[in-house]
Amino acid sequence: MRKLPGDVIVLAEAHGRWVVMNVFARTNLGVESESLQVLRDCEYLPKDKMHQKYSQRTFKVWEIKWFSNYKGLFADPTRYVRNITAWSEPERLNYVDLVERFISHYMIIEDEKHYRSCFGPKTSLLDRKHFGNFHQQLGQELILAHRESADEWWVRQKFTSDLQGLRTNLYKSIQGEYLKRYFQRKFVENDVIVDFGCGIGFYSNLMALTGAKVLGIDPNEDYIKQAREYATDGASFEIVNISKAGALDHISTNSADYIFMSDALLFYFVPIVSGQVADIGVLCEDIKRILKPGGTFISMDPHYLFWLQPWLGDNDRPFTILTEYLNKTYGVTPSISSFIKTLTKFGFAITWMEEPTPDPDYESVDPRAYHFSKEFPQWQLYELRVV
Amino acid sequence: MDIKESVLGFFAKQGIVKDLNISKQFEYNYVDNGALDSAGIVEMITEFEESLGIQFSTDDFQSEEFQTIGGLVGIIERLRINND
Repeated sequence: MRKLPGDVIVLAEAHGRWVVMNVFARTNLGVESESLQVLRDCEYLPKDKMHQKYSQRTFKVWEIKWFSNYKGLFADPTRYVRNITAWSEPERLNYVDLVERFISHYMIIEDEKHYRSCFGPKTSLLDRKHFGNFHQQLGQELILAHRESADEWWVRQKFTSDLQGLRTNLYKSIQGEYLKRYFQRKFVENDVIVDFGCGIGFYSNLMALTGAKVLGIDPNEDYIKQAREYATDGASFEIVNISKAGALDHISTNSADYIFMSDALLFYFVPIVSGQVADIGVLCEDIKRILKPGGTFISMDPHYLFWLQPWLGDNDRPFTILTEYLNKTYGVTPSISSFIKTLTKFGFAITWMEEPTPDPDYESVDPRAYHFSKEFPQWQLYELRVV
Repeated sequence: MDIKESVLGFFAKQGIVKDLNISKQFEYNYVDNGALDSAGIVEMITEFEESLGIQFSTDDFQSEEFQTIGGLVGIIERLRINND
């Protein structure tokens, strides 16, 4: 029993074409109008009527779906080739093969129970049945399609090849520009800051430029090696397994004015690798102990609502589609209530929150990214104090 | 090196399938049995591609064949023939 599920939307594209999209499976197919009629009919018309109506015709389809976040965590997450001039030559299918293509893209569902069972974590790196969450999909793409290590890829898509600057993408135009100003506004000479999960130390160094003393800690040895190589005066770095109880005991109690985390706290809610346990209780106790009385915990994370949501609509009038929020199978950020309840349970109060938007200069670089993130923030910053 | 020997050798090194007779070894589904985790699968792919001079395609990874030891041998043999 074939069904065209509510999960499917159709977007108008140039040259009279359409993009058919399953918003949950994140599959896309480029078609012409005649194929939309097939999509509609195959749910209602019996097979002999389908044959009568369509057997003499061929239908063009364009396989336009790709894992667009390969270009970056903050690249356009809408998984189809956005530039129609870059669409490859269409395939010409008979109606039977067209329907099969719709089925394989979850645009026509034959077995509802089987389809529902796809919503869940991938069971292995090779599992193509389950949709899995974003981390699993990313891991699968990097390893199987590109043979790349996630650690190296992450650094390459965020930083310039000399590791001295941010690449001209949303990392720079939103996070980079915002934090540069924020640090200048916030920190004064001799402030003591610990950067939890500092990576290659880019922000640690930026913070140290204000005259603050910064300790950057990260469990990744290669990142810390790079951080030490490029350390600014006032910034020092250590390899520390942050989520392990006792790992931070050597950092003195009540010693830090600020503890900073960027793009790291979310992993305490949804681990980057399934089964990896990062204990937020351990983290919170360490933060509370290390902060001076009146000190501030600053966390900048990908936006808990809008990160990874598709960039739809016209460039300067975007809209998006949310397919989940409280019960995530794809998303990797906590709900706002889950975040606030957890942090307040461990004794923090939120004292400030911002949702940064891109630098105006970015509009000419990538108008779609600019306008989307100007309306739907891609990052959020919280300041928290111990109460 | 013989492809069957290389593949069986890899799994033997991991301590997998050592108690099975040869035909059971080839039937063994290392994914369903959880014999290799993600890191193990990556290690396996890298080792076979480097030592046997082949490159698996996305279709290979998606096939049921890829998930059994015998199936892996078949895929690699086909890839080697295509290379020659």
